[in-house]
Amino acid sequence: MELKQKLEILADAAKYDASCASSGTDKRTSANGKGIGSTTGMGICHSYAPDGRCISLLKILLTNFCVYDCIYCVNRVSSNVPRARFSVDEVVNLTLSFYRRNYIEGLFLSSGIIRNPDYTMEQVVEVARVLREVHDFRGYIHLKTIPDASAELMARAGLYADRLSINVELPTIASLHTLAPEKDGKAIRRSMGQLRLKIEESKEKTLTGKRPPRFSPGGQSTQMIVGADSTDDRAILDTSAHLYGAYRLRRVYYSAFSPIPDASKMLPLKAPPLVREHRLYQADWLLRFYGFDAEEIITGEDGMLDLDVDPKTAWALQHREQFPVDLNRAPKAMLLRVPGLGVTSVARILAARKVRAIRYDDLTRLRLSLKKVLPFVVLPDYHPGRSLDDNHLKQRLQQPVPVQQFGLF
Amino acid sequence: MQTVRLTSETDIEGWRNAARALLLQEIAPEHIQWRVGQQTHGLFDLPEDEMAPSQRVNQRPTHQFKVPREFIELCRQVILHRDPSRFALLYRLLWRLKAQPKLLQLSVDPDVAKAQAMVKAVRRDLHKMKAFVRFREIEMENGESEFVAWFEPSHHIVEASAPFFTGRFTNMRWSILTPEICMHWDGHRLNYTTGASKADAPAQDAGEELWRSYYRSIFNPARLKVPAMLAQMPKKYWRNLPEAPLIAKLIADSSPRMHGMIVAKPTEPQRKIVKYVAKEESRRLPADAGGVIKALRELNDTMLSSADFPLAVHATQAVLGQGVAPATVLLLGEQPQEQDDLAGQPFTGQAGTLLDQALNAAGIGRSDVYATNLLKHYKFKLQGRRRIPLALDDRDIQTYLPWLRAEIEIVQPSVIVAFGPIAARALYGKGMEIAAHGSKLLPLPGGRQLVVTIQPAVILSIRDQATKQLRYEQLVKDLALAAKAATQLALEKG
Repeated sequence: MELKQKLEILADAAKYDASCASSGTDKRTSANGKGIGSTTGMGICHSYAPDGRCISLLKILLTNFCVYDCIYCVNRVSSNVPRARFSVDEVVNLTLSFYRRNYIEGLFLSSGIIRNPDYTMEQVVEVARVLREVHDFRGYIHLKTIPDASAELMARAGLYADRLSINVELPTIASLHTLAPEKDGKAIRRSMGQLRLKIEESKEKTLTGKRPPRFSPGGQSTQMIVGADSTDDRAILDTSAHLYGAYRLRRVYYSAFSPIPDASKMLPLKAPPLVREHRLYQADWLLRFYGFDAEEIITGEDGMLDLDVDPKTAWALQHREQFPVDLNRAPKAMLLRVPGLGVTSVARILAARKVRAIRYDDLTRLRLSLKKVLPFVVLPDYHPGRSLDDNHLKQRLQQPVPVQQFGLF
Repeated sequence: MQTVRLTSETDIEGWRNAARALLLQEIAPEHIQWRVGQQTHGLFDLPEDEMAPSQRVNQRPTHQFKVPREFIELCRQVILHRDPSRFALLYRLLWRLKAQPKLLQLSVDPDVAKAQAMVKAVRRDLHKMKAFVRFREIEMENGESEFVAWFEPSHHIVEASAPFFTGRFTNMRWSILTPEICMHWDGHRLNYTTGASKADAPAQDAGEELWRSYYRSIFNPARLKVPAMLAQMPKKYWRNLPEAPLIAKLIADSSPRMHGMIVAKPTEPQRKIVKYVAKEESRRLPADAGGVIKALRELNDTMLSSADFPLAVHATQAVLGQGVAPATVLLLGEQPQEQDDLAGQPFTGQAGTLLDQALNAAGIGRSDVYATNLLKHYKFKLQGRRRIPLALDDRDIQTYLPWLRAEIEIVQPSVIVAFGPIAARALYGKGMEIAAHGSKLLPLPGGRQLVVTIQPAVILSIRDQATKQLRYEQLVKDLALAAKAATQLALEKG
């Protein structure tokens, strides 16, 4: 089979993994090396596809042959999609040639399970080894880790990779059991626990002052499929909160279950719940950066996030008694709860108000959505009046769902 | 009106020298015009007032005020912006800083806001340049390759991008051509030449076809989000991106492709499906006199499959007992710590290390004892992004006690060392007090002895070094007491 055809099959098979991050690892360059590559710490998106997703890494599977039969998955053993398998050298050369042209930050390599987990993991690790040791490649490498792979393989994966990830796939162990019978939810947790210990260990100096071996300096992440089972948003966010707490994940990715070619008859297809996915990401941000608890973010009685307004606005509308907030006096934690104020705006307000009082005109220069902010704040020369009592406040704050602009093309 | 001429668009040194001198002469911002290079004179621009910045280099202000470091940083970024008013804006900020030292904290001030917006635009442009430069490969006569890219930045950022490209493509020969300035790297030295045009860069090369294949295949037609793409990859960049010509067709075909997948009839697998069965890890048991280890494993498997442990829902795993069995000494903790939950073993982490040290000092090896906890799951509450350990209560003890009792029956220790009063009370009864019963041999039913001692984790948390040492010595003494009693009991039995 031609390389181009393999690339098409194995990129197509990899696109349901949302993660493409190239951030969070240590900074390095090729200045004293023989090969190519560098990492900046913040990650770079080299392109964007019309699905809005960033293309930062060459995201491919080593092979889409798989012995598992996860019914949501395009690569399950019972699917008739075309199959292909890259050789180690093919992946290495593809990565290097894309990298030289500045198309990518590095490689995100995953694989269908062939023979058994350890064999598969060994192949994946071998690609990373050749890139690092033979070619002195210093770009980003993200490896998908196979749960319960041997400790020795795991240590080698961590040595070469900038990030490791294991997908929890579904929000609950029970759903995983139903939809991915060969996957073991407990093994996934065990492996994430091991990864956290190894990542933390690699950052500590030993008593002798020797540096422990490198281990996944960009941490670990995971992905959950949303909408393939009936789990509600409350349970999803609860799972996320626990994953962040227990395993110090850099990110939990939410992937709306999306139609795949040759789908299983056990899982009827529909358009992916993209708005729900978007709201989950917003809620995830509130968990990580805005001091919200998983429990309070869910405002709907059905355990779901409000699809009409963002979760922070939805929360504020349900807690109108806590508003309006005085931008010149409120503590930071409360400013972070004002709809329309981001982490940067809050930092700017806190710095500015130490110098002088903030007034209405000042808000226009903070480049924020006045429509969102104004009903919830009070300033020396501004009061929202009775707008907080307005029954139509929610309708006024609703963002019209953007209509596809096909006319552009 | 004074005019200052800077040597180039990014002449930060020239601007600084001039600004320093002008400030010293107390020349207000509105009396200064800033120009770059050999521009034609403005109408009111009097040539005799012009001074090159270099003339003022050596003037040292006598009552110099201290410019905040962050202002210098701001200048370095703002000067890369293409807006011709940036030099005046920076001088105005400097002028105002004299009277308002905290001015830069005021993001709501119009001048500060404008400068910050410029910084943001410059950073974004720099970031997009790093992202969207696309090299094309030219084979040279000696068989080596040279990589050439054409890029059109919005601001004066080419030189600022150099460290990125030299650090990344150190061992490649490359050139980045732009309308204003070109940058060349031969593997050792960086070299700048004057601006070029798109025609100077190579046309398509074969390597781009693979990249386009990748771009087409990684796109998911079922999740069209054109505005999200445009926000990050505005159309102004498209003309130099080899993948951009694919976009229109990908968008046009996406809806029929998604619909096709939804209505497609499920197919029957065309290959023979062999149900995958994971090979059980070799469950060969170590030498197991009397089937003790097998019995323990069966007990744990039975308990693990039970739904009666609410703490199991969010725990990483059950932390099972570990060590030799049968054992003469059983170490009993209250509950697994967070580290134990992650590792799947009791007494790991710092507390485990301290315990090992104490066992060693008491002449006991960890491999001579059986170690377990009263609770088999880590009990915690989630606080933000931390798991905070929770104290166990009576109900937890009732839930897990049958497991522990069965474990003890299998392991058959003659002495149990309980770390802390809670673990001890679970076996001895509520009347147990450390003050009265600590560091003594207490009788348990079935001829066993109990020693209650301090928890290693508690010792770790003691701040006062002298007290810490005392408590540690007590722990060693208690362990030695347990070891001695175990030997004694073995002799009596023997």
